[in-house]
Amino acid sequence: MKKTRRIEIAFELLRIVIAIAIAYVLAMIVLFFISEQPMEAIKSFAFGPVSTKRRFSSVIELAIPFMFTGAGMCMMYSANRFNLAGEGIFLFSGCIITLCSFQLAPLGLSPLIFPLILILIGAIAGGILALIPALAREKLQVNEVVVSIMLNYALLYISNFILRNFMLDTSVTYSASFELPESSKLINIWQGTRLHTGIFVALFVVVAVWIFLYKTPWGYSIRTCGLNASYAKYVGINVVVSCVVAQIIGGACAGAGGAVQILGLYDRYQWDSLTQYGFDGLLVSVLAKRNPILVPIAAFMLAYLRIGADIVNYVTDVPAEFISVLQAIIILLVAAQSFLGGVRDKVIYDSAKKGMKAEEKKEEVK
Amino acid sequence: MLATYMNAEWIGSFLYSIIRISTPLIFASLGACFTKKAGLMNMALESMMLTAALCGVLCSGASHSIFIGFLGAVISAVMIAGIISYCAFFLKTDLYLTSISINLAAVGGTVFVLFLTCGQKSTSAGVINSLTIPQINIPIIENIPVIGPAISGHNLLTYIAFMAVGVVYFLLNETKTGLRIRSVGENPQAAESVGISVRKIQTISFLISGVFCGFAGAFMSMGYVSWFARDMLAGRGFISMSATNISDASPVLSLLASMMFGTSQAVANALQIASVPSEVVSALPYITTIVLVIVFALIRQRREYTRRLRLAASIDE
Repeated sequence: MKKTRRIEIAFELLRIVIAIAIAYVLAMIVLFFISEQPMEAIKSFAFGPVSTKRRFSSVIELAIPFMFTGAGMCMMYSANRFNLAGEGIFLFSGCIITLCSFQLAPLGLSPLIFPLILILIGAIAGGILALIPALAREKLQVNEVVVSIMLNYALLYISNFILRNFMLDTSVTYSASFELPESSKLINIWQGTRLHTGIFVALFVVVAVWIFLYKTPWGYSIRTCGLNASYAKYVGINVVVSCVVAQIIGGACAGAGGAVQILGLYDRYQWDSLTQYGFDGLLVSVLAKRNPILVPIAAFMLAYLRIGADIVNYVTDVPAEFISVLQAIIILLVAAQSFLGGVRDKVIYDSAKKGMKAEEKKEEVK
Repeated sequence: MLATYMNAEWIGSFLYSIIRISTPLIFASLGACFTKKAGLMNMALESMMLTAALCGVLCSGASHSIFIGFLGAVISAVMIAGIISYCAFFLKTDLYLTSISINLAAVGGTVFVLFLTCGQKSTSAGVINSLTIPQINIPIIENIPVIGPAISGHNLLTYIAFMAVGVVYFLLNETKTGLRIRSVGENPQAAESVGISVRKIQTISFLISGVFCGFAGAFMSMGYVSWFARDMLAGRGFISMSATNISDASPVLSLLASMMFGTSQAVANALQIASVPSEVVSALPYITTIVLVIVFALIRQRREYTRRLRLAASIDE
C-alpha cells in the first residue's frame, strides 16, 4: 500500500514539473513568434530573474504576499471552499492598517512591536471579512464564490472611499495616504534591495498553518470536510464549524499579507485597484497541492515566472500579461486527473504485480 | 431636489437605462440557466463575456462588418466554453478551479491581445474603428410619453434578449435536448442508466451558455459602449450567475432577477449625478447583490422549513 502512495506522490510531483515545463516551452514559442527580438526575450524570461541581485531579491519580495495568500487559500481549499475574498481582504487590510498606524503612532510603540500589532489588526480584519461569504455559504447554501467576488469589488471601493476621505495626502501629485510612521515599517534585511523582515512573518504563518492543518485534530476535521463532506458529517465532525474556521483563518492570512505588503514595501498606502495577490494565492495553493509546507516553493516558482514576464515586458516589446494564460495552463495540467493518469495507473499496476510475484516466490521457498 | 428628478422625461430615461444595463445580465443569466439545469455552476460567464467583447471589437474592426464582428464574439465565447468543458468533463479537472483559472486567464489574455493589436493596455477606443449593432426605434410606441423613451430606441440585442427568454423556456421545456439537460441535472446516475451520456449533455449545456455569453459580450463592446476596455465586465458574470441562482434557473424569473440587479446599478448611476461620493456609488451594486442573494436564500430556507413542517404534520395525521 505504501508503495502505491509513494508512486502517486512521485507522479503528482512529476505532473507539476511537466506542467511548468510545458508552460515554459509554450512561453518560448509565443515569445519567439510575437517578439521583435525573440532570443533576447526568451533569455530574459528564463534567466532574467537570477541575472542581478536586485532582480533576484524582487522574486523573493514578490513571493512574500504569495505565501500569505497561498497559505490562506490552502486553508480554504482544504475545506473545498473557493472563498476568494482574500483578494479584497488583502487590499482592505492594507488600507485599514494604514489608518490604524496614524491612530497608534502617538503611543510611541517600539519598532519591534508596532508592525506586529498592525499585522495582527490586519489579520483580525481579514478573519472578520472572510466570515461574510463563509456564513452565507455554510448557513444559507449561497455560493461562496459569488459573494466573495462581490465582496472584493465592494472592499475595493470602500478602501478608495477611506483613502479619499480620511487619509489623503494632498501634497503629493498621485492619490496616496500620508506617510506611514517610521516605527511601523518592517526593517530591510538585505542591503541594496527591498527585502524586508516580512519574509519571516510569512514563513511563520506558513508553518503555523501547516501545523494547524496537518498536526491538529481541527485541521484533520477540516481536511475531512474537504475530501468528503457527507462522510465528515457521518462520523460526527461539525462541518459548518470546521468550514467556517477554515475560511476565517484563510481570511486572516490574507489580511496579515496585506499588512506586511504595505509595511514592508510602501511609504504610503496607494492601491487604487485590486492587487490580484488573492487570486494568485489560489494558484499557489493548487501548485502546492493544498499542502502549506509546499507553499514557499510554489510561491517562489510563481514569483519567478512573474518577474521573468515583467523583465520581458521591460526589456522587449511583449506585454507581461501573456503569463496569465500560461498560469491557467499550468493550473489545468496540475489539476487534471487524467493528465498522466493512464501511465500512473500502469506503473501502480506493474509494481503491485511485481510485489505479488515476489510474495509468491517467498512462499515457494518456504 | 427630488422634484428635479420626478418628471416624465427623467423617468423615461431612467427606465431606459435599467433596460440597457440589464441586457448583458439577462443574456448571461439565461445562459447560466442551461448549466444550472444540468446541475452545474457556470462560473466562467465572466471570461466568456470578456473574450466575446474583445473578439466583437477585433472582428468588426477588421472586417468592417457588424455581422462578422457579432459572429466572432459568439464563436469565441463558445470556444471558451468548449475549453472549459473539455478540461472539466474529459480531463477531469475540478470545474470550479477550471472556471476560476480561465477567468484569470481571460483577464490577462484579453489585455495581452489588446496590446498586440492596439499597442496599449487599457482600451481599444480610438485605435480600432469597431462597429456597433444598430439601435431600433419602434414606430408608434416611440411617441408615447414615458413608455416610448423607455422601451424604444434600444439596441437590437436588447430586444433579442427579451425574446430569448421565450426561446430558452421553449428549449428547456419542450425539446429533447432540454429534457435531457434537466434529467442530467436532477439525477445523473438515472440519466446515465437510460443511455444518456452525462458529460455530453453537460458539454452541450456549457456550449449553449457560451452562445448566450457571446451575445452578452457582443452587447457590451458593440452596443453598451463602442470599444473594449480591460476588465470592462467588472463582475457582471457573477452578478448574472447570482440572478440565475436566485431564480432557480427559471428563464422568466432570471429575467426579473437580472432586471433587479440592473435597477440597482441604474440607481447607482443616477445617484452619481446627485453628487453622492463616487466610491460609495460604485460599491452599491456589489453590496446590493450580496444583500439580495442572502435575503433570497433566507426566504428560500424559511419556505423549505415550513414545507417540511407541513410534510411532517401530514405524515403524523
